[in-house]
Amino acid sequence: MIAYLFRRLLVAGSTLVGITLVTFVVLHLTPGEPALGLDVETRGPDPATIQALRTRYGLDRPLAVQYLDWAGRVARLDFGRSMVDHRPVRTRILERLPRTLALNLAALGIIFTVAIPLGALSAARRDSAIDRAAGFTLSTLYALPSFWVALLLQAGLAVGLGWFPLAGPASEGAAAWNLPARWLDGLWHMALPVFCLSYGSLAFVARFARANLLEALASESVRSARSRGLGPGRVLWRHALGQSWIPFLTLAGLLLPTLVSGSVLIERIFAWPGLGALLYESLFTRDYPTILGLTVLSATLVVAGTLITDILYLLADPRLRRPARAS
Amino acid sequence: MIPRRKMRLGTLALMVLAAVALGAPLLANDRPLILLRGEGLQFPALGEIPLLGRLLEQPGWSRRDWSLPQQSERWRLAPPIPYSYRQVSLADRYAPPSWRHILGADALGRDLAARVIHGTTVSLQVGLVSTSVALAIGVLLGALAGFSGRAADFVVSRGIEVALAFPTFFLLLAVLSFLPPSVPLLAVVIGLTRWPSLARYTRAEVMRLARAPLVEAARAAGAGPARVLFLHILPHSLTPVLVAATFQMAGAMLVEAGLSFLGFGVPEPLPSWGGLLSQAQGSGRWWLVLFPGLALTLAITTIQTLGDQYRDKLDPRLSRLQP
Repeated sequence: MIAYLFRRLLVAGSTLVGITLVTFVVLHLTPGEPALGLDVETRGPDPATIQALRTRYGLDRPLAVQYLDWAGRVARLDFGRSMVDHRPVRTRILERLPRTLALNLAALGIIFTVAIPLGALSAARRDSAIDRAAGFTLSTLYALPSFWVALLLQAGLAVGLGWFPLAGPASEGAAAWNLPARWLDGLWHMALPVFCLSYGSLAFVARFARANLLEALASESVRSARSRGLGPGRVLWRHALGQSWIPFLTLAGLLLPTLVSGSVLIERIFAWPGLGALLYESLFTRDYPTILGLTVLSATLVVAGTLITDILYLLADPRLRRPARAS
Repeated sequence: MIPRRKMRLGTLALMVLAAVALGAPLLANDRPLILLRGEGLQFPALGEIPLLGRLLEQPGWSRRDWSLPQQSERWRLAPPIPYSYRQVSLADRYAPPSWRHILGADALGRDLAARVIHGTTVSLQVGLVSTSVALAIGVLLGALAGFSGRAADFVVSRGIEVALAFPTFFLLLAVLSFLPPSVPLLAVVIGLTRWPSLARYTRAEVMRLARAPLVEAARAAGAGPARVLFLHILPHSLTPVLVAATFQMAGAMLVEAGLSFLGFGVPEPLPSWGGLLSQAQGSGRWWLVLFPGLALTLAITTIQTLGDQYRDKLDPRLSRLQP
């Protein structure tokens, strides 16, 4: 078990190093040099200024030295200062992180609370009208690009009917309201973005749940539970779902990165001041430290997601705990 | 199994998509399809078809204003949509769908139908080029990992794991914001991020086949490792990889649309469905939002359905077990 854990940690660590290395090198090799983007005013062809900026930010050193220096500071959670407002990148990211996490965790929660019962229902009533209807609806939803749906919903429900706010995280003047009112207001503003982030993965997770449950329903343990006279509901929820919940962990770990990168588009459309929006602004201002910091952060999220899944797997599946590893 | 009728429908849809992409200059163009002049018949619209067009293009055609009758013109046959994708007409700003502009017009009075049709070409181009790039890298690395022993396998497999965990959309945005905007570059860069799953499939297939009797027989007949790999293993292992590649292509098209939506994809005035949607945001004109998104959805569904069908044909069991 320890060896397994160690191996996973090693893989996670090397993944992080790989990702940061590739990102750093790619960003530094692309034309358009960091020093040129530093200040719009100094963009003019003044070689002395550019040279001074290069020296100041250490951009004149060899790439390997720059990477090691940067990676060393990142390991101590120091991402440098933004080239735009000169505040620490860490502060800028931490300001925005809760907003993005709120969107994505809400989406993840909705995906699983809707998709698993739906998949279970489809599996229990296999090939029935419900199964077919659910399958058809979900695969149609899956095919709809989220940013298009976001635009349609914005035009229809926000502009047309006025049921939802057009964009932004809160209503005007909401800061002065009391806590429940602010919470409700926040939820109201989250509704459309969260829907757009979650509906696409519904199909995926529901199909996954259906396939896993079908397999579980055909298994020996479920047959024996049935033969002991347990009702169909209890068999489905306790015995079939009980033995197939482990794969869902992996799925959650896999979904998180797609959600986070998908939220760049959704945050942009709904003017949601999260990490995606920060990335978008940084790209336009060529704010290297912030771009690098955000890429590292999203990579860390992904790696951490996989690692946590692996560890939970370990706790959930006793076979993996045996010294002779099963994988 | 999928019913036969649905199968034909999927193939038909793909053919329509390909025809629209290839024949976009003949479907929507301000140049006439056929022009009868004093000196004989001319086919100006054909001149805009890639490759073939080079041979037919006559000097001066590209600069001519085709909306005015040509010298000594007797008769002309216009394409079904008589506008090019870049033809600005301020009189038609935000024209709603009508007989004049069947899908309406955008903020510059450009015909939306023409832009959506030409967007097909751009989208499929990016999809095909990026998938080819991804296939080339994926198959090569996958074959290397599956065929050439433990050390190479270890390195490539870890590489695949790292690449799969990559926040590719973030990286694409970051890289593209520093590169000059261009469609081929965009396609290649997208392709560079989409090889990992293809490499994984190739590796698994190559490993499976390396133990197959046919390979043993080839070895016994004296074939060297390169010959065994390229002539005996790879041809047989490509089918599942190609199925996976169709899904990669749909994904690449979606990524292109997303990037163009954010302004880091296909450069103006070339139309891309994602770019069209980005111009639609905030315009308050429903046709600008509806039609480009519909085109994107239909194209992606078509390609995905096709991938599903091939997968079912390959292994009917897979479609039930795998989401």
